[in-house]
Amino acid sequence: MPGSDLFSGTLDLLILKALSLGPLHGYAIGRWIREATGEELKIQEGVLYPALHRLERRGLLEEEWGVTDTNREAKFYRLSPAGRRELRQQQTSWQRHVAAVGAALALTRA
Amino acid sequence: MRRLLRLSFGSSDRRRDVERELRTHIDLRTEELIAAGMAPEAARRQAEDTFGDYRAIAADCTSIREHRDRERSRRGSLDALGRDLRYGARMLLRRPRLTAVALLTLTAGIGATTGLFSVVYALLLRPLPFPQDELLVRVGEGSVATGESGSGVSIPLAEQFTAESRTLQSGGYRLDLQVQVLSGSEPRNAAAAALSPGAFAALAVAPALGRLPARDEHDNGGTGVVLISYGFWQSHFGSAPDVLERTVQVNNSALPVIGVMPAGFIYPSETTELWLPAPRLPEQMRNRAVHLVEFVGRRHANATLDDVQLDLQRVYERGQQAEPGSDSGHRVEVMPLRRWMVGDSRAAVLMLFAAAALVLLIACANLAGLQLAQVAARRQELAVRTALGAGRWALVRQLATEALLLAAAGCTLGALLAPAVQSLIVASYPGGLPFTTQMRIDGRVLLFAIATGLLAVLLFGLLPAIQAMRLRGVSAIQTGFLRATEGVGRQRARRTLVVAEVALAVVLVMGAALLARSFALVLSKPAGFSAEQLLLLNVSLSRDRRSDQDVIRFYQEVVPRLTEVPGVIGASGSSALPISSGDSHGDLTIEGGVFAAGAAPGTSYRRVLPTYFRTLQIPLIAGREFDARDSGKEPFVVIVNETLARRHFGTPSAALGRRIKVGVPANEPWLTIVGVVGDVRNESLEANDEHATYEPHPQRPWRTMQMVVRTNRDPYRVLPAVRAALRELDAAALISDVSTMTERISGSVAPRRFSTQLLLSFALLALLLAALGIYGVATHMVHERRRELSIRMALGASGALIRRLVFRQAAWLAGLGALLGSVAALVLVRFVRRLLFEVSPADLTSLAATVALLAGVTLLAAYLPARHAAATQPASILRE
Repeated sequence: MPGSDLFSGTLDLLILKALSLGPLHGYAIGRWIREATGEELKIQEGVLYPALHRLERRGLLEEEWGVTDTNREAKFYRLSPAGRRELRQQQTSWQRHVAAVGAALALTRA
Repeated sequence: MRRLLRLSFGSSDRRRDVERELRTHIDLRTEELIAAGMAPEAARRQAEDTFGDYRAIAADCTSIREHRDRERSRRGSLDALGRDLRYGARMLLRRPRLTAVALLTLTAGIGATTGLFSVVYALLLRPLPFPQDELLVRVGEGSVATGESGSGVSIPLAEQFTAESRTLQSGGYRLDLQVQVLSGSEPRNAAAAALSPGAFAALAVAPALGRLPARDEHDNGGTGVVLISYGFWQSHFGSAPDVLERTVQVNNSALPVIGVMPAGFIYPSETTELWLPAPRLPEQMRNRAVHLVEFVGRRHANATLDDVQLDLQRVYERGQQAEPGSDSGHRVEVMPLRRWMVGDSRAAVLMLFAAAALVLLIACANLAGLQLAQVAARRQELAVRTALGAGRWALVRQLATEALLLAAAGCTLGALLAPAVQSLIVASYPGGLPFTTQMRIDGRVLLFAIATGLLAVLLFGLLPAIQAMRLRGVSAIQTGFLRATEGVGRQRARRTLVVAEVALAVVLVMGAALLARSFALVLSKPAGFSAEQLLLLNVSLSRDRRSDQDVIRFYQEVVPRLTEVPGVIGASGSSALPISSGDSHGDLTIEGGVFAAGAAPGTSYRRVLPTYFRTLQIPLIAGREFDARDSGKEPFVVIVNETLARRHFGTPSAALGRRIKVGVPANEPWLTIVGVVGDVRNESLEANDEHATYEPHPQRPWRTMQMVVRTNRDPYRVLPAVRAALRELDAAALISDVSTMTERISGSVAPRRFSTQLLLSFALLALLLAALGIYGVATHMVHERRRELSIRMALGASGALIRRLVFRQAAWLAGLGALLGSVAALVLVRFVRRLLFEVSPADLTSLAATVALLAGVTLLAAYLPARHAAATQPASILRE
């Protein structure tokens, strides 16, 4: 649920962003997040999957079994049109959130 | 369907899916680590560790997917339902005429049956305003010898019932009274009931305000108190809270109000407004032979009606042993109170309800036939849907959806129509129905409407659905042969429907014919007097006229005074005019004659004024009319009717001078017969008043008389002058119930007329629908067999032959239906035997009329298709 748990909200946002550049399977999404955040966010890898399934249940992602480049069967995820919209919304609100917190922290006076 | 299957496969399938996915992740991680140089087992262990709690995560994912699947399927079914409904509605609208006919039929049918059901329910099923009303019984007496029944009981017998009965937990008697109450400053008549303590106990209803009469108020009889109805409290006292300290002016006394009965309390009828403790009556009225009161009792829950009857019969016989001779040879009759309160309207209303239901059935059969025809026409549409993968089940669902839509719409509109139907029945039932305040459209009635709608849908939606299941092949291109064989099944179904329709219609027409014959017979009965241009009014003398002498004098003066009024040819009066039920009856005693116990004939009796028979034009057969001689002094005189004279004295002239007694022999004086007059239908046109006696008014001066005035112009035009003349003689006399004799006769047969007319309407409607059915089948048959008929015509068959073929087909169906219907009618008509008058249920004339009517209708219905068949060009058909 976006916003209620800061961490899961962040994870969802990252997943959406990861898929915005094209369909990926679960492992690839995890790797992308690790690399894109500069290894800053070390999440337990398994936690990714419930998040993916919840996003799919909300209709933000579409899933499909496919084949990796190593000829392994894997489940690929892809953004749905609703997912794309959600990503845009979340991105905007995240940026606003960061700006607001930054502004509050920058105050030198009480 | 697939979705259903997926859902039911459930967790194991989903779980496997999830585990596959998670396993892949771990495998990929392991591969990566191995590629980075780790040993395989170490790599795998590392991968599994960094993954996390595998089992928990797998379980979590599985449950997420389960929820998602469930949501999806639910949404899917709703979507599918919505699609079906929308498509169904679109299909219905694409055939507006058919849909309109179906909707109209359903609305009318469901509305009528539901409206009638609400009436039936209130009359027969809804609990009466008494606790455990099914335990209440009405007890009366009937004569074993003469078969008369429905009479009340005497006060001593009632008291015996109360004291000695074992099967009744409580019981008492009721005396019905007509009283004058002062409402504001105007006196008006009101119906009241005097009840014994046992009767109050049996009814077991506590007043809404105040209390029931105390023991001493019953025993005393002198200090009167009164309980008023809720409506009376509202209208007379404006719902004043201090009503228990007020009084009501009843007849000549101001009675304190001790209680207000609850709203909706009805006993014995809806017009009763006042209840009083039963007064102590003079000894003559406490005689066993005077059947003055009505007995009501509450039986023990484990006592059946038969138990009560046996018990009370024993009590009666014990009473007979104690006081032999009076009231002998009778049997006790016990019936549920409800049945007695509802009376004759029960049979009529039930019959009408059954008729409405039958008409609805026929209409549904017609609709089914139309739908069946539609199946053929819609084959193209259905085939396309099948080609697109709809499957047969989807088609059936489609048809079922359409039928349900129609049913839902029909139910809703029908339920809206029902209150109007109910009001119509209540308003037009002559004399009013009982319990009308209890009639309303509530949950149970609505449930009935829904059930009827569903049944209708089942009837007219099921057959086409079954036919749709049988649709063979998905190709829209069919050979003629295939078309014909498919058509056969439908034809058979349609023909069966039509036979059923005709049978049902015949039942209704037969019933209507019997009722019509009964009605005609009733009207044809000679009334025994001339009914034209007679003005009727009730006169009740005011309280100023106290003594008997005052009363006698008034009524002696009134006849000559009224005759003076311009337009009046003759005037007289009677305590009970003809065609008024509620005549007084008493036992007949003949000087020198003895009757067996219980076989004493009853006779009606009334007081009349001079020139009574001349005014009514009742023929005087022997002797004389009453005149000034008969002033109430001895010897007392009486005039009897012809039947009485002939039966007991041989000839009318032989009766003159003989003496009789009317009523309880011990109480009554001898009356000398001075005249014999023709028989008159005193009670009603239907009942033959076997014995009738007339006495001059001064012999038993009653304050209230029904005046009859014969006029030479419209009776109502003479009314003001008549009123004025009456007021001259008594300024405060109460004049009420003004009407004419023609109106009264018409009113007396109005219930019968009502039932007959309504049943006739239903029957004609049924016949029309059946005719439509025949027309439909004949048209269909002509269409299906057109190739064959064309070949025949090409080979030389004449148009007449073709027409005869069609007629024969129609006649065969109608004949079969008529046969079944006649048999059914003969069986069912027994239920309406009570409504028939001098007509047996197996009346041949009615049967013949029914068959003739049906034959005519069949010919008419088959005419157009027959003509069409004979007129088509064979060449064009064969070229198809």
